[in-house]
Amino acid sequence: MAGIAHASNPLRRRHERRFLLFVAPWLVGALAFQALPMLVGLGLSFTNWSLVRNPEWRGLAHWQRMVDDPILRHALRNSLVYCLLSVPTGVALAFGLAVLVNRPWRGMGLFRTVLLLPALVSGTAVALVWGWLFNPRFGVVNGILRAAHLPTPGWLSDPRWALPTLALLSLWSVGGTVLIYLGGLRTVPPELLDAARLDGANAVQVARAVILPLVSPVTYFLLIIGTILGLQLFAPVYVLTEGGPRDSTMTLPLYIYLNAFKWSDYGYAAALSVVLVALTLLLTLVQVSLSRRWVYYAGGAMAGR
Amino acid sequence: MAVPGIRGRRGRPWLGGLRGLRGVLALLLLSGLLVACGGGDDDDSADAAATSAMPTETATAQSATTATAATTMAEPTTGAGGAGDAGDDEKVSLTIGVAMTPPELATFQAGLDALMEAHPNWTLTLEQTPQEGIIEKMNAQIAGEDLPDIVQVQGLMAQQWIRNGVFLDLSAFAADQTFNVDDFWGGALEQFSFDGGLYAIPNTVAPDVVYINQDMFDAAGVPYPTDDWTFEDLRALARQLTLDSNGNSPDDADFDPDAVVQWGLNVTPASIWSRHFLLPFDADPCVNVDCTEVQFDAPEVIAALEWWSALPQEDFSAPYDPYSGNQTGVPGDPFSAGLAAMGYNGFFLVGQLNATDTMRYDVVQPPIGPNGERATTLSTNGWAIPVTTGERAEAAWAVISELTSDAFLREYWAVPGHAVPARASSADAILTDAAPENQQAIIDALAYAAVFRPYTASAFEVYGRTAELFAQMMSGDLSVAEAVAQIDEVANSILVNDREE
Repeated sequence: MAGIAHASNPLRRRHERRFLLFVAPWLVGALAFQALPMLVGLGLSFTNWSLVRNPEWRGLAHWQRMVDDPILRHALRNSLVYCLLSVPTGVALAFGLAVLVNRPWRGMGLFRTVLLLPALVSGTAVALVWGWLFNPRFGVVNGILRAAHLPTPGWLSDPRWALPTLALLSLWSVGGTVLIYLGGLRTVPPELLDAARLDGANAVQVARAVILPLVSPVTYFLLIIGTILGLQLFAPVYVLTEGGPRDSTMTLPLYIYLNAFKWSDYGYAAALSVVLVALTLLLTLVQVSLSRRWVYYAGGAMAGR
Repeated sequence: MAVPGIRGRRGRPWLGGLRGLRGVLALLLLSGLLVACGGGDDDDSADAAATSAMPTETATAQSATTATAATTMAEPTTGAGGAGDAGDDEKVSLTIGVAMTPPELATFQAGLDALMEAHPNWTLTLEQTPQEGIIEKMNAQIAGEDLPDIVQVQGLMAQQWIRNGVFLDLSAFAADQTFNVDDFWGGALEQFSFDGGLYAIPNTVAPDVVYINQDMFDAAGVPYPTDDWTFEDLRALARQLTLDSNGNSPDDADFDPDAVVQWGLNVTPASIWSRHFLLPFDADPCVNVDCTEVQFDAPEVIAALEWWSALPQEDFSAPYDPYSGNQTGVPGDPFSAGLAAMGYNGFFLVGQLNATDTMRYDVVQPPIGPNGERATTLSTNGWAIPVTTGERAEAAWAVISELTSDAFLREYWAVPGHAVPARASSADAILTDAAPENQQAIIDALAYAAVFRPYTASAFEVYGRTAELFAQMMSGDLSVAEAVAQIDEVANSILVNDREE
């Protein structure tokens, strides 16, 4: 009865209509520019298409081809390794920096601003600058190492170093993550921290036993977003290494780009895009599933419950 | 104080304002629809009208060898089906898609301005695309049926569009005696031919020759090579001219191969487009004419590749992965970066080196192989008319006729040092007092230069998927036999699609 009463409430109906009116532009945009292209992409993955001619039906040919594609194996492995290297490191560093700058000290506002600045610079420009810094022969980094009589790695030219170097570069824009953590830290009740200190907890224990659980929803969010962005790694690779040396930095998005826009193999690129979406979905689901064990919500419920 | 017309009912002034805006928005929407439905692009309409009225026959022929550019502009000539007599009042607007370097673009724009001055009824608008983005842009324009009326097309990229019916067959236009299509280098015409048709008119060509850094030769006390040199001479010179950071060469006991700072030669056969490195050894990896089937595992090809692999692996005189910068620290050509004493390069480098004046250099023909023959590559650019140009094709051809005339090629490509004219009769225009001294070597190389093979639609994909295997072969991570087996498998599995076309 209550439901009927609600449904027949003219004020509620008006609110619903307004809600639909306001979300309609987004809904139309999402259907036309996201859902529809994804469906078309899925359809193209079963065809051969060079843009110039109409698509030709090829059934599962592209999917079979993936099984024996060595570059795809490299790309998948590199994308996953990059996520494993960059996401936990970035989140941990951001947490540490956020705790450091979350103090009422003089000048901390300026420090926070400076910390955020790199995240505002174009990724391509940053990549070019880092490319020169890490140049094995002329770069500043190796110049310093050389002066200190230390080994000078081929940061971006040695297959063993290139992917870790790209993961290192990702830390440059950690300021945005720090900002999100700062927002989370502001929600931690000071009385809990005081109580922990009164109980004799040191700084590390306070961080581990009080702060980390309370900001775990933020950490959860950052891990998911970081993984999604990590799987989409493109600009630094395209600018700095083009997937080399020896395919050691070939990522799935770059491989999709090469197939589509360099080799005009749009059907295979569409199939690879489906793989990227599926992989992203799978890893997100895994994280959602695991989050039930460690994400704490102040309302008393654990994530997903 | 209430403002009339702004305050609405129930004390919500903004609502009344919005209502007031409704009329304005409705008017804007209506006017927008009227404009959208008004139909027709003004330029297109004008162009179509102009085209329909254009003359279709050639005015006069020109003497290619005697006419200066200025004369040509004043007395315009066109080829078969040409149009655009300067006295013609009909307006013609054409867009020309190009992918040029800034210096080329500046010179070319001057050339177009001169053409438009000579043909007051022509309006030629350039549409520049950065060279690295040309494939993407072309494909997008093809899909959107939005190509320029005339496009500059790079030879190696052309077949993927030619074989998909993007360009008009220009054979009928080019067959006109006054155009003299036989004057163009055969290799350049081959790049734009398919199934008996000719789909672009080449305007520039660039054979690879060997550049030498005379400062490095002088520092090593090594005499410059001459045109009668052999591949064994090349190998010996490359070894002599290689230096590590302590100034030792590979013949010195203290030579450190991990600290090379100067390579003797800038290249190794590091891609599918390495045929010209192998032919002088009587080794041809192409099974058929358009190279849609390869056999890098043929014994003679393996033997030739083993000869080449000794340069990076035994002599340390050439990088195994030349252009990535992984060894040299500078992506791109090691020779032009000043990191190699000798370098296989096209004519474009003449313009670059002369403009920057950073090194003393000369050129020499590629070495003579064990079979007594030379081989080199021929890069080329040409002008094509997309099918979408439609009724304006004749006007577009008239423009192409001018762009590929002897006078235009000399004045705007050869003399500034940008490229060698694709007309054989115009090629001598590159012989100037500027460096390099042995400019004749470039002309001589045109006699045997051949376009890169494979050049069909899948060539770039084959290149991309096999580059890593070539690098592993030249570095020694894979034996030549192992590498070529994989290269053949990958390449032929892709090229088979082109054989079916």
